Amino acid sequence: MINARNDRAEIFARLREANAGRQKTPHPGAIAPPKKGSFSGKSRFDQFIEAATAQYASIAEVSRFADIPASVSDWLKGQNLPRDLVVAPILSGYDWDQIKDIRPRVGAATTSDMVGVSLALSAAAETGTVMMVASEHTPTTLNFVPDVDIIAISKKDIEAGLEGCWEKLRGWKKTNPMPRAVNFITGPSRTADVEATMVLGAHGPRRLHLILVDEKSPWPKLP
Amino acid sequence: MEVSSQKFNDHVHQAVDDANLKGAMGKLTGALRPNRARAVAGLPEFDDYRDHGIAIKMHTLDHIDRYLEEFETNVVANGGHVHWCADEDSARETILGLCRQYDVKTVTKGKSMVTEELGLNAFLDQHGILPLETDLGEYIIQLRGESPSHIIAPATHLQRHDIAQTFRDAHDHLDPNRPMDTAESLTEEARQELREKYGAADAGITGANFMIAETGSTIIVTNEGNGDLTQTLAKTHIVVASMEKILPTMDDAGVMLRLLARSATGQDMSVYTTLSSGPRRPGDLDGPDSFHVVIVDNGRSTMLAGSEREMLRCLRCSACLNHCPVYASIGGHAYGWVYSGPMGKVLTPSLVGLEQTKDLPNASTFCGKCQEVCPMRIPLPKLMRNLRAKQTEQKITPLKQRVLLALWSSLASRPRFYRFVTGMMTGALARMAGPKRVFTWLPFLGDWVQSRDFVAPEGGSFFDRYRASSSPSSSKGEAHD
Repeated sequence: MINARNDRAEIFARLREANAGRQKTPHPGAIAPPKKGSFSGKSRFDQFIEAATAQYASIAEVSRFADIPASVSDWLKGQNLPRDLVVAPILSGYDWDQIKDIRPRVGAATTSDMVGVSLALSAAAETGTVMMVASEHTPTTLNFVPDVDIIAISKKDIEAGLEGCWEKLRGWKKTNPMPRAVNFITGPSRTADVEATMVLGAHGPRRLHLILVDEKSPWPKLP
Repeated sequence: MEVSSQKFNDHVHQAVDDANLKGAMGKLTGALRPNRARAVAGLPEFDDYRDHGIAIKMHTLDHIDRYLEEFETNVVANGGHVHWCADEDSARETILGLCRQYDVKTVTKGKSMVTEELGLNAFLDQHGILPLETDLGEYIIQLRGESPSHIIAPATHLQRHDIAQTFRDAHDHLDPNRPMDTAESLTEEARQELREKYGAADAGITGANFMIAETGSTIIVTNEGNGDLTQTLAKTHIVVASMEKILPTMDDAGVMLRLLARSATGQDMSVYTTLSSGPRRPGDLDGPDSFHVVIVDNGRSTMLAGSEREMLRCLRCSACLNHCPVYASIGGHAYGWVYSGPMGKVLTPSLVGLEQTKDLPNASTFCGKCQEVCPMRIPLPKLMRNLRAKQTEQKITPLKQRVLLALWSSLASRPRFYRFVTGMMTGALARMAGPKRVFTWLPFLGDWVQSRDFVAPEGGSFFDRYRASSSPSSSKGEAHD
């Protein structure tokens, strides 16, 4: 590498010189989230479903995390989708083997996997967005490599707006390192690079299916 | 990337005669203008967010050294590495050095405008490393040997039949009679072609929409998922970012994200917003083994010290391109470098110099739409005017134009003289005009009358008529109402 350290000193000297003697603008602080990012209770939940479905995600609701294998199986059958799935380690403890017709495997996804199932840490009702963190419990590839991305989320983890998601992340950081990747996902992958025409299923998943669970999530307890 | 902005006028002539380009540009503006309008209307607080976002950016630029240092500290704490590059040579050598260090033969790339500045693909190619663009638009133009014509829709100058032909030529292992007449079939073909390439690449290179000092994270905002496949499946992830992308906190990024997607594609939130903070952690089942951030100055510190400082607020959303009547008529390639449209007219001269880019700040109708739709309210017309003034000071403006400007300035700054001369000219032009009452030719203004006629004045100058209407018989204040 050429001059890597010298460049650093040179760049910082130039930046400091450019700003020397300038009146400094104060940081404006926090701004209140917009109305849509401030809903609580049922209106927050309705906002999440409205925004997520507007972005072409499909939704299922179950009461317990243990109901997820059956819900996944029913949905895949109903949509006539492949029944081979790769499941995030954090969801591996449920009775996947008891459900007929699905063939689960636990781990990260490879290009031959058609369906991935994982768990969100948080979500923003404002835009129908779920927040994934890369961890040993939740490999990132599950959300990008398979054709179908299935994500479970506890209803208790749905925040109003992005602000709530950042707070969750700060909580995570108190006891863990910053996750390698944090992925905010809003609907299935798409492109409009051909004649500005929107096409779903660009390089990432063609389908995004969200399973909303009444129960508290199985994430290791965060402060 | 080599600059060809010197040939702007030739490019414009070619572009306005290009019916295919005209069709393609109509599809872009027809989709993105109403999309933005809908998205902005859907967030009543949009303007408050704009003002807040501007204040964050101004604060960050005032303390940019501090936040970049904090960012570096946190990237290192996350297990990553930061490299500082003053110019494009330094950046290219640094990236090549990293490729050598990890024995990289093939690279997948997410969309990155700064790597276009560096001409990185051609450089890696020369050094035996194969770069593969994975964004659909970037993939198409890479196959065609072209540069992006739009900052977020790189292949927007092309229509379906152009892309179908490109794919037919490039993917010659496929059935030549396959259906290729829809956006769906073309997208699917690229998806299948690229699918196995991500995992086979030794390194993945992405850009960054933002960097967060608080967490040492880089952010990419995408819709296709290619950027995430690129950085998750390759063994090494190299982020190339220009340094003004830095933001203090996650909450600050949240403010910018609310503005960016709405201004760009008219989405409330793009499909994928990804924070990348280092290599895979112990126990992780996927992710890159190493993580490097190459921070590029390449002219930004000069802009920070100069009169184009406000341009460093730019989020690269493309709203100014999408709403610009000039861009919509000539497309992005006419501008002759990486950036186009109103932001390009300011950024390109700021980064590569006034000399080679003299036509860019002048190619504007000053309609002001760019500033109106800019989420960072960058005063683009004002900045273009600054650049014009600099051109005149540095005698880059052609002599004829400078002489005419000097004449105009001496005329306009002497009111009596001005009235006398314009009064005379009005009369003379009125007498000289033929029965059609238009001029199809004027001295020194050959270009101006080439595509339009100059209408002959009728019945005295404005001042004559104004004086007549405010004669003693009409009340004194009326003319000011």
